[in-house]
Amino acid sequence: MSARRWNLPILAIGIYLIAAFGVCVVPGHRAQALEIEFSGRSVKLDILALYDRRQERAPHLTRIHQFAEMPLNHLGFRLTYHDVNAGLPSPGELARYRGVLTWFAEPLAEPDKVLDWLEVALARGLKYVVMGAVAPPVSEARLEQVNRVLARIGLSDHGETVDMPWKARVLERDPEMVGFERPVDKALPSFSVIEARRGDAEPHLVLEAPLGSGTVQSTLVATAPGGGFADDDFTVHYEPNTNRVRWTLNPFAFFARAFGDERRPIPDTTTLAGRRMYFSHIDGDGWNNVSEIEGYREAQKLSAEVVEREAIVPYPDLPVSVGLIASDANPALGGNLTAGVIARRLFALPQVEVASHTNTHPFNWQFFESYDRAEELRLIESHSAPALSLRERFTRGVFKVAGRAMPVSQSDKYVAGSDSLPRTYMRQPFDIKNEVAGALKISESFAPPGKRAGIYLWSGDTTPFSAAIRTARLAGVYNMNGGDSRLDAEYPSVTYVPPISRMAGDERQIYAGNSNENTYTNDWTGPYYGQFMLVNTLANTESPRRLKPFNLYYHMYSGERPGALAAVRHILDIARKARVIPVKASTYAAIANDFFSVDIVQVDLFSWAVSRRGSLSTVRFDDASQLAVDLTRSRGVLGSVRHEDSLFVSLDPAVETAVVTLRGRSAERAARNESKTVEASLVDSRWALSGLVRESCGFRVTAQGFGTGDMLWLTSPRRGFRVSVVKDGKELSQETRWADDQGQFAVRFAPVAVNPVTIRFACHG
Amino acid sequence: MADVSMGTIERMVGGLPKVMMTRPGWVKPHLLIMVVVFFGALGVGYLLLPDDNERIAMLERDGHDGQALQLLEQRFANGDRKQRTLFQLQNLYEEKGDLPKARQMLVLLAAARPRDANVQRRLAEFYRSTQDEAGYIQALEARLARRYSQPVCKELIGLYRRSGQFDAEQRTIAACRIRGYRRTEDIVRLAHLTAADGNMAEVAALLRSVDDRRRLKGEGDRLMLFVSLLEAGGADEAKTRAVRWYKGSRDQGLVLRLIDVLVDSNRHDLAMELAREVGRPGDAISLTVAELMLDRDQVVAARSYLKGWFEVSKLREPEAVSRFIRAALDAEDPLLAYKAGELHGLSAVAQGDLVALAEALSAVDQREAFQAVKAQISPELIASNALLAAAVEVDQGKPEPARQLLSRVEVNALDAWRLQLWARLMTSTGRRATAVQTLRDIAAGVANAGQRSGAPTPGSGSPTGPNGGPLQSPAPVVRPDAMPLPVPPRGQSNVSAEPAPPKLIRKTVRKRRTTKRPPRRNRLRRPPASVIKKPAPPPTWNGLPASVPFPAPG
Repeated sequence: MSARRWNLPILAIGIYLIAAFGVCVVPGHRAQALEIEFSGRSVKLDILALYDRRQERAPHLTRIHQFAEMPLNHLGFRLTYHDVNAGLPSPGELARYRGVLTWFAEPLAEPDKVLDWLEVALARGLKYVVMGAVAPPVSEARLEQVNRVLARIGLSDHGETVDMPWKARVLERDPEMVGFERPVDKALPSFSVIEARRGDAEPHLVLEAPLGSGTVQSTLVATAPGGGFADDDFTVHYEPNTNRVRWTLNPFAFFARAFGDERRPIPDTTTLAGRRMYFSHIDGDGWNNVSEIEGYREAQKLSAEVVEREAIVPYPDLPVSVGLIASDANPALGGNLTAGVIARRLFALPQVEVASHTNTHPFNWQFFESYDRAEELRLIESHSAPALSLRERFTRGVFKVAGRAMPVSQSDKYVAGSDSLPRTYMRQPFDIKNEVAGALKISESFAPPGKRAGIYLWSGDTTPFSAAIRTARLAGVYNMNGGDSRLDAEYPSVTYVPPISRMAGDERQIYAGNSNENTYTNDWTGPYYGQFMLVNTLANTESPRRLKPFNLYYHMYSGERPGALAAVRHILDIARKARVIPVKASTYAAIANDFFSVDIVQVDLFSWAVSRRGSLSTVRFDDASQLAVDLTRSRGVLGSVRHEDSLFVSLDPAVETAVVTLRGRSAERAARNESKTVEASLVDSRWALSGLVRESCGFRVTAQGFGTGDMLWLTSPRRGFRVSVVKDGKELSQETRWADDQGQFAVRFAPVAVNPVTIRFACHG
Repeated sequence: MADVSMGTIERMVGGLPKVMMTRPGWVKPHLLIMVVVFFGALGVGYLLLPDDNERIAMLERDGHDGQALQLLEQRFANGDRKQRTLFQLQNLYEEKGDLPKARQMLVLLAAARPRDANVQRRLAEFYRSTQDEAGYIQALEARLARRYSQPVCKELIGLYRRSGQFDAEQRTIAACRIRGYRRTEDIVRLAHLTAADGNMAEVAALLRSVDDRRRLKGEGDRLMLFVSLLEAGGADEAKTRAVRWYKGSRDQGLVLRLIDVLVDSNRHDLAMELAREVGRPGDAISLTVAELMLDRDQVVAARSYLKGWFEVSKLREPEAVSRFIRAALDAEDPLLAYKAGELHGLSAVAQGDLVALAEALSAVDQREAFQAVKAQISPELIASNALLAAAVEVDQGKPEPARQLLSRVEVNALDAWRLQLWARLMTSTGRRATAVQTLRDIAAGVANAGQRSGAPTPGSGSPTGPNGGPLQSPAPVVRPDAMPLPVPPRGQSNVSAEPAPPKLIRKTVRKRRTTKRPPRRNRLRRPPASVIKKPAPPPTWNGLPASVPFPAPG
């Protein structure tokens, strides 16, 4: 009896919540649904990253951005950078943050101020994760305050350093946390003596050194409910001979533990409709280069045309965003009229997304932040143009006598042959509107009427300044490039996998999903087959954790060399066979952009409301091998799929606020086997799906995608559906299929969904 | 048969001229010459036709790679394994991106020409480009086995280090070193790895070779060499190198640390020699000489040394001021300590030092100086220290509050200086008899303990500092004329004539630095240009090497 009495309140809450969700799923009761969502507990995803601008001159140059942000993004966290020299946020501004992250190595200008602020901020319950020192330089006078801050994570600094580390040894090491990509070095570095209070902090790495007749112990990696600490020497290791960095610390495990690894949905930018996203984009560099490939060279075909014929036209099932450098098509600036002809043909293809790769192809974006034409002209003059050939001189003479404009040649001093000058086409002064909006318009001018440019692809060093990004945003397109993601034998660390984006002022630049062939071919000096190795990065960023989408990113100059073209085709062939969902580059950029606006509210122990997600339509639960989605209690959920140890949940883009409810996996399996209903959930689809509507017996959904529409649904075993595809009110196809004994319902549609179609699944039998 | 043969021969010999002579109508000599020339030219032309190699070369030159490849594949299929064929095939396969076949050709080529450095390098490069790390390492090892190469050593060492194969790394550096590898960073690294194995003699040899070339720059590396030399019995060499390092860098911190190491290894004489050699009058290092004297109980000598030191010192560094005050108190000269504080500015002296100084000044009844020091101590600190608070009350002529405060003092926990102060205050507040009895009891206890253990027993008198930590205050000055009470002299009981081992108190005067270093972390803990480790650098991270470890943007 007593047990029953104890359970009564819980039972009451449970009944209330179930009833509330019942209300939620009934159309026309949106107000009630919102009431429940906002009565829940907001899941804080924002982390305040403090950096010292005197040492790390911009957020994207910080250790935090280079090393920590990607793992944090993977865990669903978003970073806001703040320079400690620019005044620290007031306590009132801290409410939205889950925690504070610092990675100081060099002395701060005003360490006392930082310490004062940390004390105040942490008193408000923020988690504190410190990589390196709390507020260097440490002095005896400051030690007490440092220890008050460290006490939040159960640590205290003795103010001493073991400087004969060869006598020390590893006393305790948590293999899950330390030794991720590289073991703890045999030759230990000098280390501070940090004491962990057992019970308050969980040590993951403890060293012991002899001291007098006894020993001294130091905890160099630890996590606690209040945050975490990792000594700088045990975070990443730089190897000077090979010039590479690797993690000693496991950043995924460390940040998850330090910032709280409670169960929650993680907004995911790699997956759509249960499949890893595939997208491809081409920067226009080398568009007008004559191909050296046998069969094309004889006809003096341009690289862009070779790419068109070999890598775009034969792959109508794989979308690609083609970024034209506008000046490449302008003979007056050094371009070529043929470039426009090719662009026109390319942009007319349904699988090609119109994009721009700038107007004059800046190499060094910072140069244009405070642009000075006189300085640019000075640079132009200082770079001697190659000597004119006799023929060129004769031609120029003839044109001059005839009073006609001279054709632009490679000897044109206003056309840069390399990045030693600020941009490629310098005849006209730089103008940011012309560079961005103007270039987009030129790209669109080559496209069929009504086909708009979808994305702006950064050139050169891919570090545009704030105003440039703003101009792209105001032009109504997404922007992308940079990051150069690699994870392979040559770049053997997740430190070379960048975060989702880079901030320039208040503007956001989305990084590309992968690196282009430039980094694989030693800056296009060969060997030119280098991009074959992209398969390694693709595999390593898929498993053991999916870190990035499948992105094939190259330049038009890949059409110049047979090895490079073979590599592109090889990757395209892999993509064609892979279980991916091909999307446009702008789709990925939109999803990545919307990662930063998602709101998550926990509405009960196993339910979360996900809103403000824009194009982002997947959330992930890690360590979820025993969990499944409870479709009956969820809303706006299409289905789910497992990858490694994670559960990827596909949300319906048409539902503004989705509610994801979990339950035990065994319960879900049993329910499905016993179910007599026609409830079906999506496993994965090659086409993007939205607007799922459950009908009296069956359901319908809108689909859009490239190539054949492979889909896998999960329903009750041996359930039959009559499946029809409808476009503009006209039924394109119809067939009847049955689920197998496990309830897997596989279906394949003809490639008809470049524009949206409706797919109806009606009960059969 | 014989006749026939003879006739035939006759025809052959004599017939032709006969025919020519007899048929002049259609066979002309010039025609004959032309025929000969024609067929000759045909023969020469045939001989001049390009062979397969030339045809392939021409096809490649003209960009007809497909046809060239076809010819080469045909030759390969026919069993041609010549170097030229394999090389051309490999080139063409690589050019068109057929990597498995390119690899096959290169492996065949390398197997056929194991001593060809160019081919072996090409094979290694191919493995690197195709990210076959195992193959790459194997190819590098093979190259190294055949011929020493500094770049190969560097690369191989880096690969092993990067992946954390420390034994392989250590073995490779050692093997390369034997063959002439001298890259400082890697030799120092080898020393660190060897030190982790505990082989300090080998460490000394390795680091000595680097230091002889004046390339041992890191403080930690120098400390390691110093310690390894001491352990290997090369104390004098260690000192000589330390002197040279100091002259090159003027790094007082390092020398002080080395002096600590010498003291810890009971090499006081050498420590003092080192301090004298590198120290200049009035600097922090020469102050160490006095501290070492005090460590060895040469109090009078230390006192006069400190006086001389003070006369030439400018005492600017707070750490030096603190050390001087404590040394002067230790040398039983509170007034000298006070003068040092005054010179530096009492307001800038650490509170802990001020407390010790005030107590010592009060103990020797230097009221004026005491009041000056007291004025700089925070009221909270005074309030938290009953003895000092009592001294202040007495100084202000308030015996009753002083009496109450003194009753809270745990006499057994006081060190000698404070005992003297306590006794004086007790006398001033009219409780002399109690004080005398207590001191006698303590002295008896100390004597007994000393007799039992042969060493003074800290016990109740375990020296503790003003903040409860190890004793930071000086030993008392014994002035029987000024202090009639039986206060034990410095390090001794007043009853027992047995001299107490000086270490009891002095050992704790300075921070011990056995394997620890005082917190000098206000410098970069990891100098960016450090040899052994660098802060894991993003492309523009301060202190990055010139080459960028990240993929360059496109």
